[in-house]
Amino acid sequence: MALKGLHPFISFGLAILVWEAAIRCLAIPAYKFPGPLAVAEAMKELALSGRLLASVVASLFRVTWGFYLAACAAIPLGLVLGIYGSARAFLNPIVQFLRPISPLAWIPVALMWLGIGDRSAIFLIFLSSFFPLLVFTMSAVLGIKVTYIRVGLNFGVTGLKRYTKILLPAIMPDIITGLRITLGTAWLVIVAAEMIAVKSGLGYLIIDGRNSMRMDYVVAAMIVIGIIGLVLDWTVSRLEMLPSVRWIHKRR
Amino acid sequence: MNLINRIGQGIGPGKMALFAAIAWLVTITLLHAWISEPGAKKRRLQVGFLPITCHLTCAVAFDRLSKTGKAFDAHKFSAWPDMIEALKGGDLDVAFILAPIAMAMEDQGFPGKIVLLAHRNGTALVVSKHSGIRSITGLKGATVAIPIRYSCQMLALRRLCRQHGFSIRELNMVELSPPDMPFALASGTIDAYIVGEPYAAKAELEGTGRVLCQMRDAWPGFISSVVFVTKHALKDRRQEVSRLIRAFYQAGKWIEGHRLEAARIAAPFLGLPEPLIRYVLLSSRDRVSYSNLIPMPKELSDLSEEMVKAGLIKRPMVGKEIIDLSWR
Repeated sequence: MALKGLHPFISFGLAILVWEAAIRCLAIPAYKFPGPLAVAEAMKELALSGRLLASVVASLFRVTWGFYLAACAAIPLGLVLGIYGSARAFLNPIVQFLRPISPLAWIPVALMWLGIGDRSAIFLIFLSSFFPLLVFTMSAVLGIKVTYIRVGLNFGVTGLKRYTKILLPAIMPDIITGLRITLGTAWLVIVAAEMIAVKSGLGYLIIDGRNSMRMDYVVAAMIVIGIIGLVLDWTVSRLEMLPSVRWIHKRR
Repeated sequence: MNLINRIGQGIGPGKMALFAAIAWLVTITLLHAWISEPGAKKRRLQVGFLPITCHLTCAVAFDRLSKTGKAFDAHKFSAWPDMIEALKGGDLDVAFILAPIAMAMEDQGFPGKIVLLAHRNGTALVVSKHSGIRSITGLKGATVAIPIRYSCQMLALRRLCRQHGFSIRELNMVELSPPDMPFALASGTIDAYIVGEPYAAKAELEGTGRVLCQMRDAWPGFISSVVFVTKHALKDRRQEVSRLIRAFYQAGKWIEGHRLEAARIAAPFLGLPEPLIRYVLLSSRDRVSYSNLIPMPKELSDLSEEMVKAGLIKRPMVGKEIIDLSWR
């Protein structure tokens, strides 16, 4: 029990030791892969110059907007497609057709129409989350237990209340899961989205590190991306503790 | 804590979460607006470049103009296609771009003119130290990286193969972005590459590659990057553009007399290590050259003919028609 809560620190500590040992034993030169100390030094340099904070803020800004816009568009549309069979019959094929196209394939289009800067990056993040969330919402609606609706009818729930009292609460846990997964994807795309001619962000830090042959910057940015990914996931996972979501886990 | 709990109970945890989500959106947006550089104002000229020593005049001109408060907005790109798309989207007025790209864009109907060369020479064919390739003929069957097919590097490689009696089709040619080339060579993925500096010098300094041939020897007066101005900018902002091009031209002249200082100025702007730039500029004076930058119609006509032969454009261009020297 003494280890409680310490497990992650132990495994990260070990990973860093293995990393350092591998660099030393295999005599890997710093230009191929820097050791933990060099990366820590690079991170300190980036933090002190203010570049790290600026990059983190820029990346979070783009991901936030891209992800929020995707959620605002995908969830309502997903509800419509889930509820109305005819809308689904018309639009679902198009959705399924567009869904497997990687956001990266849109880079040329984004650059030409939205230009260099935040808008292109936000658009790519939006694309990465929009389709998965749409499909999540739609299948959540389709997966509602018939029992819930029947019980609702028996209690005389009709009209708009059918949606607010039965549909939304029933799909809420699925939507939260969907949000959690797509936020992960959105954060995953940040490097690619910032490859294209923005002047800031963690993705840009990686590209710029490459161009200026600073592997230590590249690895430092990778680590920061990983840490923020963890924090984002943890934050959204808190949503699963909400009473309106938790019921489904209790039931299971 | 008690108070927060009470508020939380008052509005319910679901609404709390929504409130937190909105608060986050506002916070991060304000932070971004506060920290990031002010958005590109369209008042200044927008110039695109890549972190290569071929674009050194951009770095030096930027430094000099900044001191007089007449600077431009410089956009650093990592790869040619990104810059091409930004140019087509209307985000750039001036671009340091490979001559064949500029000509192909003109061929595709994107209007603009070549106003200046960015440099001469400054390109080398590098082979891996362990490859055992000692001559151009030795490249047969090897994997050779080029920056992009619309490049003078590709045309030069084609010409070298032809001069040595074989076709470029006998090579396994791959397109790779310049910063990746030294890594690919070190890892053995490719056997050779042809690229603008400092990416040839990098492999040389790190001991992973050897220069097989400098373009100054294979193709006297070799041109690669040019300064390309959109027709829009040439028409509407003639004076500003002319002043800027003159600054680039002057910067070239200045670099020739102050190579050491130029390396110091350019390093932070290009984001390249200063010793590497210094090596490129000082190892020999004509490894890359910034004099004689006025493009000659004949050179560009000849280049366009090479491009036709390589299947990059449909018909040759008249050099005079793609050059605009009215800024002089």
